[in-house]
Amino acid sequence: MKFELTTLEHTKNPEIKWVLSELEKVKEQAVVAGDEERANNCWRESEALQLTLIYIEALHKIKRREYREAWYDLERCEIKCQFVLRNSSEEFCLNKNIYFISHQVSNLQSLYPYCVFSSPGMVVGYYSCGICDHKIRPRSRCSHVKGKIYNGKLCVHVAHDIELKEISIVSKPAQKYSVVHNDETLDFSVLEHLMAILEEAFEEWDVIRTTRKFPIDMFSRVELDSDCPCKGGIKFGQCCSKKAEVEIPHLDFVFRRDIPNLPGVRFPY
Amino acid sequence: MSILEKKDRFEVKEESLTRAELVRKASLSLTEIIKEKSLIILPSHGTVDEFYAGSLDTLDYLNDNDVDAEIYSTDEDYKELSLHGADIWLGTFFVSSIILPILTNLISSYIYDKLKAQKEDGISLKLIIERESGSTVSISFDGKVEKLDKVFTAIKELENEV
Repeated sequence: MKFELTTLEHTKNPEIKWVLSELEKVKEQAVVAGDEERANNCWRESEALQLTLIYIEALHKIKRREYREAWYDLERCEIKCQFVLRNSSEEFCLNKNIYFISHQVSNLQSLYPYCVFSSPGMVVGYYSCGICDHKIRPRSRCSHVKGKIYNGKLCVHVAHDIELKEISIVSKPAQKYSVVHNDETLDFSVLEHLMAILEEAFEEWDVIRTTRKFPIDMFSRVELDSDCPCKGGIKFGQCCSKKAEVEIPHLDFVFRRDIPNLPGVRFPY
Repeated sequence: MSILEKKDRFEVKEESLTRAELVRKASLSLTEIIKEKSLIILPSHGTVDEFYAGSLDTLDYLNDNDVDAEIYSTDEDYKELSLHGADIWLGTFFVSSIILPILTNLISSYIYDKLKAQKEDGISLKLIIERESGSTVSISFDGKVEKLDKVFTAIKELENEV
């Protein structure tokens, strides 16, 4: 069965739910019949379809300024991409836009202003294999490899006897959902700027990180004891405040199509 | 600098921990396990019995690459400390000078090829290197992956020394 899946409207197609449920049924039948390849193919197709749905929804959540909800979806996409990429051929990943989604998820995440996260530290008594339930010890393993699929099921290690030790505040979390910011206090205007131009989820775009110089007069609202806009790591008063121009980080968005009525350069200060 | 950005730490110093000391503190069964091993993965910094998450993956990688490695724990006692920051907590390794010639390649291929670390990622590791005389010297590093060269240079210098 073929159907188009590029817009939010397409994600409402009832056939998608039916296809996902059929894939699950065929996978179960393949497992019973001992047809591992067929079961794994069902897993791939299902994951790729779910990934596309989540990615389209995430993009539209950003458009609707539901930034936190979109952030959670982007993390789900990131995790799904990681496992689909690991367990699929290059051809499959190209056909299903997995490389595209993986790249754009990373781009979108990099445009968020989130920089503080909570991070639980814990002691794990032992792990067991999610496929065969084998208790994993230093000198006792099963044949399954974490992150690979077996009979249509992803091998994960399940943690047992967990003891929470501490919660740390980190800038680079392993789990990105643990944002501690209040969104109302943050500036999402870079994403807003991008979304004003981006029309479709699978439209090709990229971001180029560069710098741009602005006359010092434009920085009159920056306090001398604030961090320098050049992001050099010291205070404005000790850094660029006496220069004629200040060179600050700048993002250029590039698109494959012509953009009529380009918005002007956004100055952050 | 943000308060969340850690400063790099790199230190090479004489150590008091020796193989004899490790054996003395070990149970009888653990003594048998670690006997004559070229590399022993020790518990994480500041703990006596908890190993960084992924230590068993590191152990498998070492053994798959022909290093006679072990974990300083029995199967019954082994526990993992799971720190959920994205930094790479590689751990503490007691290393016989015999494997110094392959150590740099081994560490860098594990970090770049297996863990797919990026140059901006944070990494923490400590190598306690055992000289032929039995005395030890440690190389400790906490910082960005791109600055790991300092560790590799120190390994090279020790290789020339021992």
